[in-house]
Amino acid sequence: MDSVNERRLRIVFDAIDLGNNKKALQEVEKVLKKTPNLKTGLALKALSLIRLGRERESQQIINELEKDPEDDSTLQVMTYCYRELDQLDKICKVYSDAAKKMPGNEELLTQLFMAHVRVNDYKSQQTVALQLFKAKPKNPYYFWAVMSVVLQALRGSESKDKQKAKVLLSLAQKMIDKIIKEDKIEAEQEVQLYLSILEYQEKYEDALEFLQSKVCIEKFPGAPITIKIEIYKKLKKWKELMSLSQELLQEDPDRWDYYQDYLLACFELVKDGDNSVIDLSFNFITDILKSNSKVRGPYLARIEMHKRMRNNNLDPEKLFGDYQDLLIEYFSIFGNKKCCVNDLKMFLEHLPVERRSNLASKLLQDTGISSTTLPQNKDQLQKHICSLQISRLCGSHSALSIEHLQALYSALTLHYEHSFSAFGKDLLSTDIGPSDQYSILAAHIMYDIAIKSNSSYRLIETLHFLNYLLKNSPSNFHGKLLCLQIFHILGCGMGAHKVYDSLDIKHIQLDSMGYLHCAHLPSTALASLSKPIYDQTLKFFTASYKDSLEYLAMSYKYGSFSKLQEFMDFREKLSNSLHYSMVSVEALLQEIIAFNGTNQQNYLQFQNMKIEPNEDRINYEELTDNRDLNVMLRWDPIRDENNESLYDKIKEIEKESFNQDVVLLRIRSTLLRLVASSVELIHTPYRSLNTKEQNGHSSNSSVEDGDESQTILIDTWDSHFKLIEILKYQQSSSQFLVNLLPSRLHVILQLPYNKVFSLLGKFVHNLWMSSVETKELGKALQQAFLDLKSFIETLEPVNETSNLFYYRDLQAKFIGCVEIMSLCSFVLSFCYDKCSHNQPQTVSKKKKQQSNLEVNENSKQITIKEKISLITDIMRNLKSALNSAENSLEKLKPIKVEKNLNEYLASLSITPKESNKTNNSETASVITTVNIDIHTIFDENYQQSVKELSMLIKDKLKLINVK
Amino acid sequence: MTSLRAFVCNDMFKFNGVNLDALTETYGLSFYMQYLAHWPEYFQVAVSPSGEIMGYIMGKAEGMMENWHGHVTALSVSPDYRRLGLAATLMKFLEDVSEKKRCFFVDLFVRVSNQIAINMYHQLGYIVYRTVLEYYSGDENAYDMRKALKRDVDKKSVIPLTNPVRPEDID
Repeated sequence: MDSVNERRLRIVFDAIDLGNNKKALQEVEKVLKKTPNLKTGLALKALSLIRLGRERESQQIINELEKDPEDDSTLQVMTYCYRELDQLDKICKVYSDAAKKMPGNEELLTQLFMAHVRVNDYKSQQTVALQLFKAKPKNPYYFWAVMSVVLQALRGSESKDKQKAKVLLSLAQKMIDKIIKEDKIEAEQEVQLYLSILEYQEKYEDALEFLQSKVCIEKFPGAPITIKIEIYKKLKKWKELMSLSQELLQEDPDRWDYYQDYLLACFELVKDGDNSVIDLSFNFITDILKSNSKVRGPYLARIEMHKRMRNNNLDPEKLFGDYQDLLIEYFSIFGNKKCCVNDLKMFLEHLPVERRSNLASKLLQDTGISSTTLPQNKDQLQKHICSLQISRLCGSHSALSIEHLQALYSALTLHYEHSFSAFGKDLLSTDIGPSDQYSILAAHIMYDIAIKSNSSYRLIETLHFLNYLLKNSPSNFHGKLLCLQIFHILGCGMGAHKVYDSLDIKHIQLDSMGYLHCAHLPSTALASLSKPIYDQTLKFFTASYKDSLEYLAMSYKYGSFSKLQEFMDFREKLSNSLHYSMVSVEALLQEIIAFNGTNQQNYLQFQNMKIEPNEDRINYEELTDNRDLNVMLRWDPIRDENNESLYDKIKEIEKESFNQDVVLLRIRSTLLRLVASSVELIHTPYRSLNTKEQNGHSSNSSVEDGDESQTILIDTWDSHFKLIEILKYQQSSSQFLVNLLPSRLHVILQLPYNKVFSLLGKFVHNLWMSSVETKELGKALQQAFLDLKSFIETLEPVNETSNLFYYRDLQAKFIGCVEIMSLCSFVLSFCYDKCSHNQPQTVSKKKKQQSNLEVNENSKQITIKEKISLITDIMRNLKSALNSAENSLEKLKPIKVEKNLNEYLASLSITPKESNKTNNSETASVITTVNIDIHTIFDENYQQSVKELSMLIKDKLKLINVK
Repeated sequence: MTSLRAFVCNDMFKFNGVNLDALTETYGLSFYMQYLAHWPEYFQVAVSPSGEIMGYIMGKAEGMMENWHGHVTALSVSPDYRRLGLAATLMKFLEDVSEKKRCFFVDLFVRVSNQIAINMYHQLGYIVYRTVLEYYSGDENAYDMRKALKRDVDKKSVIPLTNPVRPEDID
């Protein structure tokens, strides 16, 4: 390539890098005008066309280039094209062709190797790696081959055949044995790979021996001690494990993992009949404790050993004394640290239930704070907070009456205020205040009150108080998370959104924390807020999926073989995320619901969405739960009143909520496909049954496909609901504040989704066949909309006596109804459009003949006229239901919030000081303050919802407005 | 009371208790993945006895000749696990790895306004080697802090520079 062209193409590259694809296309076309056959130029043109969404044109260019791509830079640009087009196998093909032409070319072979990595073709990887090694005998290439063999054994098609996998692993070992023998090991990654191959084969003795060999010590000096520990465990070398962990603990007496290994070994030896180790361990831990009385390690180890002795039917009391006394001692030493509660939580479960309330009151005593005294310093403050949290864990709050809970709540708010004034003065805006946890705990208690008294007013008070907390500590994310949760409980999407914004959730957090906000958005009427979050979320997933291939390539490049499988699993976990699939489906549904153009425009937009009605691309069996379910703190009792473990219960709720959401996803995805299939069918020219039979293998197979797929889809749709009926899913418990909110599935089941869309699907199908059954179905649909109308009319607005979740449910139901009607309007408008264009007086001669034929041929079919009148009748009822929804928008009026923040605080006898934090320090820039007025936010939310809903309803009315 | 282990991809689904903190940045995936792929031994996570992520450190080894050194890219501890000496534990880990890799020194960058962090690094034996002008967003300066390792016998790596440098002049 001459330098002029090179310079010009540079401009194109830069434009593409900056995402300025239009400019890239213009520039590259300029170049191609002068040198039309410049291959890199053509490849760049193809790339910019893809980025501009013009894939078809781009594909033509690529097809041409494939024949003889010539040079390396063209190949590289083509690789980008294939990656964007998701045609990864083609990359293998072009590089394989190129490598054949220039055998032994290192660069091409490397690219070819990476191309195979992207499609997980381990066998070809092995071949290419060995070719590379032959061309350039460098160690990395050799080890790429070894790793490729390992992957065949562990993840390839051979992995299912144990015998084959075994052979492959032993081959991999021999390959490295050879290198070791020739003394050619160079890098620690190579040693690591060898160790893991031995472990895969369960040759732990060999691994241990190798670990102590000269090669290993020389080349892998930083070998983590955990490797040895794991091998000892596999080999059940308990004595060795015990003395090793003993050594490690002497050096580092605060390592919990070493204590666990130590005690594991100790009790395994006991099991083997060696009881003498008990005294040994007791003395060891006691000695450590004596010389390290300031670290938590040995204290916790004592409690752990006490617990394990009891589990092994040994008597710990003689050695350690009473279990509860150990807990109290731990608290009195470490209660001034936040982590004390989490430390003790692990051990509370093993304290008999009847002793727990006793423990709670003893701990409170130990803090030295009574109803008449206040914490005098930060240590005492933290201790007090810890004792309160543990007391909740011990179940002390469950038994309290509403009045007592109310008293506790007031006390906590005052404690917060006092300690904030006393110890929170010099806080930076990035700090979490020392007294903040009072108000977090208070929020949990207020929720208990709200549930017991079934009143949302109490929760609004909590919002006020948390809001006050966030004014004092604007970066307390625990407070923000609780606000987010409460806003969603109360059905205030806008409040929730403001809090969410201040949390600055991004990248992988969109997946792990999406369930806290994004997943609830379909139940709010705030499409304007949800769309950007859906877009951001989907962008993260698609980009990560593409990028994650490059991490695999990177692992080979750096020889970090230990990470390869982890990266592969991670990639799968991301792409199988339930949240990802759910958001994809919701975003598409939302887009369809929001269509507000003419029929023609809508159809064009719909086609651009490329929905495949025939296949559900979601792999339901593989879906993963990527939620971070521990992000919100909780101190709810370890056991409930029936003495069931709350931990087990929470785990069950989490699993159940995931299962229910998978069912929800099945329903939403089928709904989307059913709507899409109906629209496609309407737009497919009809062939009468006779014609089909005559032609036998009809050339127009897509028609039959559409026909069949509609039937299958309706069956699938109905079968989901039948299954749900059998399985009888329960709404998850809302006993505690941070319990997962009930799945949207339950709202869907309360609305006539199943019936309406089953009827609609059948109606469209029969209409398309002009069958007489269309009439019956049409009547049923008319009735369904009448029913929907009366359903909307019977919805009751929220009032003072409504239960806690009422407003949220009401809103979700209302929005569900509007959604049903919007999707029906979308489909029916096409039905009408199609039929009215086929009317005999308006169609061309040819079509006229055809439609006449239809009528004459088969008297069992209905006429176009009948069709139009049927559709018009249905639309009339739909219109009336929509009108009724529009007139009922007032029903969404929220509960009244009487007080503003200051009035509320005054009722708690708190007088907030004027905050002077507004222009505080440089770090303020990293804080997004939450600025929500609880007094008005519910009304704002209502105004915005009504605005969006009413606009949506108006659009739908316009869509089905026919004479 | 800590367990230390290598950071794995799945930890990213659970590190929110650390990352929601106002001073901790959540980066794009590629940032973490690059470190995991290139310097897996330098990316460690501290886990509490009950299994929560308490904090993590990520770093790398780079530089030529006498500039071969360990670098702390990010060090974060959850606000719920502060004042337990966790940062020191994680820093010691990184220094140990760097010793084994025969590095000459360890260095790190910190906002000049982050006095708490600077004090802590001083306590751990780090000195301000130089000031980097307008290194951070908002044009805030950074301190480049260093601590010499055993291999740097004459402690040549920790003789402070007198003049500040611009970000583009950092080697």
